[in-house]
Amino acid sequence: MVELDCTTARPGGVTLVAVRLDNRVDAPGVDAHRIRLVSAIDGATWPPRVQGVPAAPWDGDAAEVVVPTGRVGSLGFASPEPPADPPVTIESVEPAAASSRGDAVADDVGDDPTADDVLRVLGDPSPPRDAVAPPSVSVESSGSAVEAGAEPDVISGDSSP
Amino acid sequence: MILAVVGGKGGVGKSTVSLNVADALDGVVVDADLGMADLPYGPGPDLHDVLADRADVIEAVRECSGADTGPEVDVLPCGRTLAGARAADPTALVRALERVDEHYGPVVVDCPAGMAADAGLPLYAAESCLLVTTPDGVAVPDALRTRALARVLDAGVERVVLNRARDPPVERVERTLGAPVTVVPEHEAVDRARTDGLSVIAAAPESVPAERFREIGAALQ
Repeated sequence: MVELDCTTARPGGVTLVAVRLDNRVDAPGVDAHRIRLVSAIDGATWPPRVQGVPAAPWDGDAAEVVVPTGRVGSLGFASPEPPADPPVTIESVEPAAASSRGDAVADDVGDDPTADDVLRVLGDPSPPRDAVAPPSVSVESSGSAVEAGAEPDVISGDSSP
Repeated sequence: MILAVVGGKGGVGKSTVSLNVADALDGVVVDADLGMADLPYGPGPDLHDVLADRADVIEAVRECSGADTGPEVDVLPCGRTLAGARAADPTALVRALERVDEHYGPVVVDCPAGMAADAGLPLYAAESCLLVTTPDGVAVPDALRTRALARVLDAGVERVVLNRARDPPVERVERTLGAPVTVVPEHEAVDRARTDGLSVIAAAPESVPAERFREIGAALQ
């Protein structure tokens, strides 16, 4: 069986849930199990985010974690709603391959990736906020309007508004 | 067909290859370099607008007019501002490319350098890719890393384009990258066409580079 050890806290009106999964399934020859957990909190689930998209195990209010037999896995999430007891329930436990494909990107992307998986694993290419000029403010100067912070139009070379 | 043109290293000629292969396929070239676009641009909505949900992707394609002036290839250009790049949702590129493919036919995607998601997402959307490299010892290892990414994202490498090659080590590159190699030699017609915003197929149809790009197009069809 899989033993769950859950702790919850609610600082600042947000419920934080930490889950420890102890894989004690007695299954000779099975290296690992894919354990699917569902939040039991009645309300929104806020999974951890990587590169702006939900972390790999998450799919809505459920998450799948592969834990080697005899080992311990972990999971955490948040919710704006009050905690439930227990905060998660196990939906399924199935045998899974513990072996990797020997490539970090391949392992992270998975066998059937989505565009969000690609974004999370490879990284968001968007320029940082500080690199982007603030919204334009028209300033009258020497009789001509100048947009403070406006990016130049590199095609025509014309930076006037 | 969605074809990603990738290479890893910047400056190896991905945009030139993209424009010319799109011409050879009579398809649409998409400038997917969200931060540093360089394919021909004109007024109207661009890929930044599409990915920020401000414009429909079909409206953003500049169709070639068939006139003597203007682009000889249908182009989906990309905006040039950092604000536009930041406002764009990179994952929306996948559906946008699929729609261009459904509406226009062959789509050739000019991918950015590097291994971030803006290079990975076109590979994710594409069925196959062209790997562009110059023969030097910096570009080939980058192409090798990009090939590994293409494999993970299930975009088969159709062909390697060994660009700007004078004395091309074709066998070595073929062995290293594991795909057939087409050599595009350095040629002033390529520089001239790029300056004029044209494909070399249109600007210098009798030149060796134009002939090589047509060969690549024929091999892809």
